[in-house]
Amino acid sequence: MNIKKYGQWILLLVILLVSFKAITFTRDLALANYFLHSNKEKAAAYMYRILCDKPFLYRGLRDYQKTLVDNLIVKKAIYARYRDNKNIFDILSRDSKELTVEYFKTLYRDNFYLQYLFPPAPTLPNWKNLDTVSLELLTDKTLNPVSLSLWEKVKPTVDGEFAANLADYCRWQGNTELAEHLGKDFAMAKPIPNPGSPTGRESSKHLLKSLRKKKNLTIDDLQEIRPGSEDFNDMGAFKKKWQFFYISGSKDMRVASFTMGLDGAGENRCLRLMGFFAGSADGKTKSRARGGAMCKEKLSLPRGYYLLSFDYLTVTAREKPSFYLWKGISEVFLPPTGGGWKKVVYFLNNSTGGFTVIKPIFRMWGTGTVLIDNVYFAAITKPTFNFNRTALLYTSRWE
Amino acid sequence: MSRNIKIIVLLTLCVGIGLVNVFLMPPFMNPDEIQHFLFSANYAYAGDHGRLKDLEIRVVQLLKDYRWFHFIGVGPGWENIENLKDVNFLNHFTMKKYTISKSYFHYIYGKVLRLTGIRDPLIAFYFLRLLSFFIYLAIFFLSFVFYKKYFPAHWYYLLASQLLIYQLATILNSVNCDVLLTLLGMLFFTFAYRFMAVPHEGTPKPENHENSATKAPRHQESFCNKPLSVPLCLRAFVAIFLVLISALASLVKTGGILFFLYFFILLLFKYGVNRKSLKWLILGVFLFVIVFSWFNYWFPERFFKLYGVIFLKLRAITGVAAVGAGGGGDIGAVANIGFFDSIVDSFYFYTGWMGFKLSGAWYWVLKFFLLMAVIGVIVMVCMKKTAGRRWLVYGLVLIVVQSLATRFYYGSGLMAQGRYLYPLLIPIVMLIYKGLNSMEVFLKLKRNYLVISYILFLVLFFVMALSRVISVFYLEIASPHVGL
Repeated sequence: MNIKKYGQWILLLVILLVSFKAITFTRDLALANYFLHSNKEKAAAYMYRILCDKPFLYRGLRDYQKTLVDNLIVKKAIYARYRDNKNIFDILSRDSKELTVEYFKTLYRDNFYLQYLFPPAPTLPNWKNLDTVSLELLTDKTLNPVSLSLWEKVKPTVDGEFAANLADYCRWQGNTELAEHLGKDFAMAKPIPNPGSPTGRESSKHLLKSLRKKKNLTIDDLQEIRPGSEDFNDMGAFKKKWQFFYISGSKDMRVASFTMGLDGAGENRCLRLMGFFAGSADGKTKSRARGGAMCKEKLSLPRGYYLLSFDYLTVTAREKPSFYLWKGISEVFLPPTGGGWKKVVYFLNNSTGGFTVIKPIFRMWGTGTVLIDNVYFAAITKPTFNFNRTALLYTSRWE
Repeated sequence: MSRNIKIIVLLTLCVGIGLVNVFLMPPFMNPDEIQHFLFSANYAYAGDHGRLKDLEIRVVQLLKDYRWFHFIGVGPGWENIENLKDVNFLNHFTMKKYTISKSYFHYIYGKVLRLTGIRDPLIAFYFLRLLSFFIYLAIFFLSFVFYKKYFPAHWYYLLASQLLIYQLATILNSVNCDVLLTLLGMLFFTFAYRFMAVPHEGTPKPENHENSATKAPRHQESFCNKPLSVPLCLRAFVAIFLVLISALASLVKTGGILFFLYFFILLLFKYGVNRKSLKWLILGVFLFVIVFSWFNYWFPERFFKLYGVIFLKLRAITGVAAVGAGGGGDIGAVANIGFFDSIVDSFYFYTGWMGFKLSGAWYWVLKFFLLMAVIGVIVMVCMKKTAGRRWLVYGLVLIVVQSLATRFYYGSGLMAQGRYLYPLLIPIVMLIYKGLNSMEVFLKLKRNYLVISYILFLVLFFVMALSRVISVFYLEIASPHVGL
């Protein structure tokens, strides 16, 4: 046996094995940065792995992706506590003094999972202010026992509307068992229309027919500008082109709770926006919090007239849906539909070239549920009509 | 001139030029010197917020006293500036105790400053410049050793042509990351030259050349080319050292990450062309991965920042998600000849905060010499029997890579950053010398007339540059009549 020959290979193998941790760490470090701008969830997952090795990096990494990294830490801590009765904060705080349970409990003041699993619970929490971590954990069926036991503690402080919204959210996310329990003790609002059914929604063909009838516009007069996955049937395209966007009305960004995603299946998939809680900012009488879906890319807007059309539905008559295009173009508030679909036809006048781009945002103010579908955005190449205002809006009057 | 006299003359010149640059250039007038000083001071006085605040006030006052704002071209109103954050191009500076983007250049300079206990900002600043001066001496000592070993017949030509680059002397005697990066570049290329096993200029040929060429190894002095039975760890030593230098370079400055690229290109030049050497190429990559990974593990903040810069610029270049990518990515603009122009100008002399130059004719003469050198190198590369041909091509490739990387980093703006080529000092000086030498052979000149003319011109250029600095900063033509 050639000892020298095999010795060389053994030496290389030993070096490789000893360095394995450093190599995987390097991979995580590079990938965390690579996904930082394209896929924040993935980036946060890699950052979490980095932090498991080097918790002291938390101070540096939070400059890049604080919320997502924090979310991951809290989520992992909750799972570790529930499944293995471990406190990962004890481990993390050995290397980084900041990563204590108290620090995260202050950050996630209204997260009932964190607060009850790591007692004591705070004195004045607002359990309705659901954060991303809570919303994610509520969808996990394996956590249902703990979710239900915590719900029993939280229940006295919440109202029927919140319970209905939460139950609806769990149903939407596939956790029907939890949804049934959540709604049991409250008189629930009327059932959410099944988004899988096309009832009430109109196809583009129908829109074109009515446009021809009312404005003398034909398909040849319109040049479609695709704002993204406008019929929301393609999940991949939706994730690529739309992003969650929310603003709360105070400095504390956790004062409101919104979520968005696709609902339904197949060709009848639509965009769903949900608001669970909207707190008022200090010193303000009205809630200014709003959340929704924003088109990731700006759409260029040469001079001319434009048409934006979509269908929408509000579950009750209390929601305040709206859409926003760009600075200088007034936000358009839509009337609640109370469970039925309505068509919005919106003409934008950019004949003076006042706007060069738009970035559509569909959103809602306050609580409730809004569904949106069949978004159609087109330039009107041959305007058959004139109007002096910036925009013309048709909702109920269109029909 | 005897050998000792040559050494004494060059050493005196080196010390003289260094000290002149330390004390002649007013404080903070070199590129980014103010930021580098403040970041270093941040480490020196870490934790003492009162001192740091006081430092900022004193530095602002010094900037006013030395009319820094005037020389770098800030318009009227600078007399009222009270805080550094009010200075537009210093906006990225914050007096934070901790930052993920820290450079170990600032860390080292800061810790050395802390050890001295110096508290006065101006003395601290000159102390750091003197620290750079000693590194500058080390750089020239390394150059001396390198040229002396590999070019025993004409080492003084090479050393003199390096010593007389005015901008190099200015940058290397300022408070700037480029000082340490140039030192690391010097070490890298010394070992890279060894690694590539280029035959020495003065190595005598074997007596029976034809027979020995087939039997004996071609480059007998290099242990890299010894038979395969040499233990693996010894064979890998140079490669490991090169990767270590690359890792250190990336800790010192963002641009230092390019050293890894230099290493990869070196591996390709050394092994990639020969199928038999493929296993050594793979081994080189393996070593790179190991050393690189451990550096990532030990210095994660620094490498996270470096990945950020790389991915951001790559996105800008490829046009993917350019939002927030900043400058860079202007591939088309590379074709702009002004880019190469500004690199050459600022490599030799573009002093202050890239604010003062000589008249264009001086640079045109320099460019004439450079053109001759490039033609000479091309002629040498085309001649298959040229010794060290691969090394010359390697040097040329690196210069192009470094220039393009700088271009992509800065985008289409003015790119007067010839100093970014200083880590490649050894390949550049060698290419110029070899190129001019080759032209002398081509033109059938009996002596080194071209090389000597180039060095004499550099002497003139140096004197002109020096007088330009003195005239800008110290001689003010004023009329006794106010307003004229």
